[in-house]
Amino acid sequence: MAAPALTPVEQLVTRARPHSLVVATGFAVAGGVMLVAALVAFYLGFRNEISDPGTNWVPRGVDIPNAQLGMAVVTAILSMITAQWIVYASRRRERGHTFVAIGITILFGVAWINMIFFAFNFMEVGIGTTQWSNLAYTLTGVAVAIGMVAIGFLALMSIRAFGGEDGPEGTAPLAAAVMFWHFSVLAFIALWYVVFVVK
Amino acid sequence: MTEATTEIADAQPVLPPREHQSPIGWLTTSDHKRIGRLFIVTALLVLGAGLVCELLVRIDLTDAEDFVILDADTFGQIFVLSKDLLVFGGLVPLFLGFAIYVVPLQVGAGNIAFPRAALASFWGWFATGGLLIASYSINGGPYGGEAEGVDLYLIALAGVLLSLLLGAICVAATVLTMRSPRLFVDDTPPFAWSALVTAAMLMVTIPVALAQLAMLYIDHRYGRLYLDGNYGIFQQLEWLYRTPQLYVYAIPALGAVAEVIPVWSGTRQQQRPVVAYAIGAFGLAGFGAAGSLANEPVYFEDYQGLLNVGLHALALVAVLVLLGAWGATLVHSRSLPRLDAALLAALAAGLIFLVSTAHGVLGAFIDWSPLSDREVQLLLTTWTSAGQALVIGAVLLAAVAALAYWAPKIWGRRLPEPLSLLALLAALAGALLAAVGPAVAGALQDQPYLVFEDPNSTTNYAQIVDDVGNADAYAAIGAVGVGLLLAAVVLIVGNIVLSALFRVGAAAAADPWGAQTAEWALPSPPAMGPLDDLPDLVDGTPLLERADAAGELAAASGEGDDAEAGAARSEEAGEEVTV
Repeated sequence: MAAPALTPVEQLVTRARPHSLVVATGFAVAGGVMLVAALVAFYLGFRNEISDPGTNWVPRGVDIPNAQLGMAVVTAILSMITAQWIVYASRRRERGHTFVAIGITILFGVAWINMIFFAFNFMEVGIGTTQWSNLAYTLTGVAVAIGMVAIGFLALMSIRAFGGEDGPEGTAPLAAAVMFWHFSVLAFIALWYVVFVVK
Repeated sequence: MTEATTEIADAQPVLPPREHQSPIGWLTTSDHKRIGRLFIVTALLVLGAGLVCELLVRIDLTDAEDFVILDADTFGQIFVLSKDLLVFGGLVPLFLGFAIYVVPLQVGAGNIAFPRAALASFWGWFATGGLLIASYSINGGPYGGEAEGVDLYLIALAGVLLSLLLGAICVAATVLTMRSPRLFVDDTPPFAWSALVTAAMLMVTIPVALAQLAMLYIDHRYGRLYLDGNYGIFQQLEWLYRTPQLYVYAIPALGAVAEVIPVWSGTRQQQRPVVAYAIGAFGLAGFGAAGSLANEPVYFEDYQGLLNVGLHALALVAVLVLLGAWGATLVHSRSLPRLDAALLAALAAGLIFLVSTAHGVLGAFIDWSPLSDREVQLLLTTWTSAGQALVIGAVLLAAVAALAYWAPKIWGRRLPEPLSLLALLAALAGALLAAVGPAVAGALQDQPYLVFEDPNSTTNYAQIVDDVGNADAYAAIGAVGVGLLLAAVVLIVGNIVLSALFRVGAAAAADPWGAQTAEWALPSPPAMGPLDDLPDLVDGTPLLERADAAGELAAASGEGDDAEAGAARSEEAGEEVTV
């Protein structure tokens, strides 16, 4: 193809574009924030329509496992630390540290998602029984979906890292995955607080 | 650090493989130009289908007491289907297609960011759009009688929205991270800027709809406890299909108009930063998600009503500013602008945008104002249909302009001018008629937009409207308008078919217009696949800068006076980049 010689053409084919994925992930996170904010707003809006939501909102007899869910939140917060460890190690080309951190982070992620499933089994709240149960399933379901996307994203970027894309120039994919991971944890905490603490 | 870690080579960009020339290439392409073409052509076809559905609905409203074409089982479904097809099948993907094609070339990128994601965006949109239509075919969708069909609709619509968001992210990432290193964002051409604004606004509004779809799906599938089952779906989502949210989908149409007018004026855009700010403000005005936070469609009684007035007013001010800047550009034209279809359609789009935003402000103000003694808010009448028709008409006119302008770059030939002019006239008349009829019927006779609880009552509105008056006649005017809009789409598609398939129309040089932006430095159409050599842009209008420099050089060397050099600017630019 003829080159469009608008100005002296440099050797630009190899322009480094390491931040495309980070920027795109930033857009996805922005959308995710709006998703979570909308869910919280809808939840509180519906709750506000109930007279005396302190007693009429959550079905009677439902025992929310606060200790276990609190542990899930702590686990999720810990995963943010290990996620940041991924970026720290990757930038320094510490491959051993990088993959240990990835493994631990994904393990933590699976753990807090598992804890949510446990919580719903423990509560024995059937979906489709009350308005609260449907909303609770929706909000926590979205949190779980976001968490699973974060795990998948991190796993995918880890495969790229296995292929050699790390170091100061190549750490952007992992950084993007970690950015999304932080968002997934914060989204989970926000939705946990609204559904299980504010109720 | 271990030794093993030091052996890792630095990351090197990998160039995408060359394109398959066969039809299979359309399935596997990573070329933004092919993906853009896929979006543009498919979106135009779906837009036509949406207008057919809209026409059926409008015809049914011409009889105040009975159905005309549709029946009690299908009216509500076709009503919502028409909105889905028009907005998420037509308006949004049409200009997303333009953006995917044009923006990388405008900003000096070799390809779109994440080309495979962009391809996934198209095929995801296509597949989930097909599922959405299929859901109606099994009596699903809002107001459908088949529960599984309704669930399928909700999933399919979420898929459509996610696919479009994916494409928008690719475009935004291209502008932000793949433009020439010395090209600042605020120097990018207006269409690239508008695509970026659109992506940002889509990212902050569409997820609200995704949240609603999640709630609707869970509630509809499990118990139908609080969202009124299939009758509550459109009530929750109707904000997606009316102003101010519609303005978000129309932002790139303004960007396209902003590309055309300076080129046809033969001069640089006056107050260019102001144009960029106005496009951004117009996008902010489309923050219609705010309206969705009410669980009832009637909410214009308090601060939300005032917010609605403010959003519409912001859009109106933005359009006025844009019209002023474009007018100043035309006034500063060094010679009389060529009255081609592209310029006329761009001006007509600007006019309809002005009418649309003025209509929006008036309706929002009347609904909010304590002085208004209306029993039924305008939002719930066909006044809303008028607003939709105006935005659709404006975007369609901008599409006529964009196609007349970019068709040589996309398909290598100029579109036949007579058909473009006919499409322009049909779209202009259609937009006005499709708006005037419903606006008057809504304002004077309270003709309902949609009775959410029982959509069939919308057709039999004599039962619920005190004074039917001439509402049926006004509805007929609206139907004629929609028919004209449909004719415009048919003419546009026919024009493309004639040009691209039957080679009618002049073969285009690299720059047949004396254009200003970087895509016109490439052959028409550019070869498939990523560019081998990327331009090093320092300005969004490099051809204009080069032509101006050539004019100054000619004047300085005594080869002609300034006026002649200026008048010949376009031709010089065309020759220079074609060689």
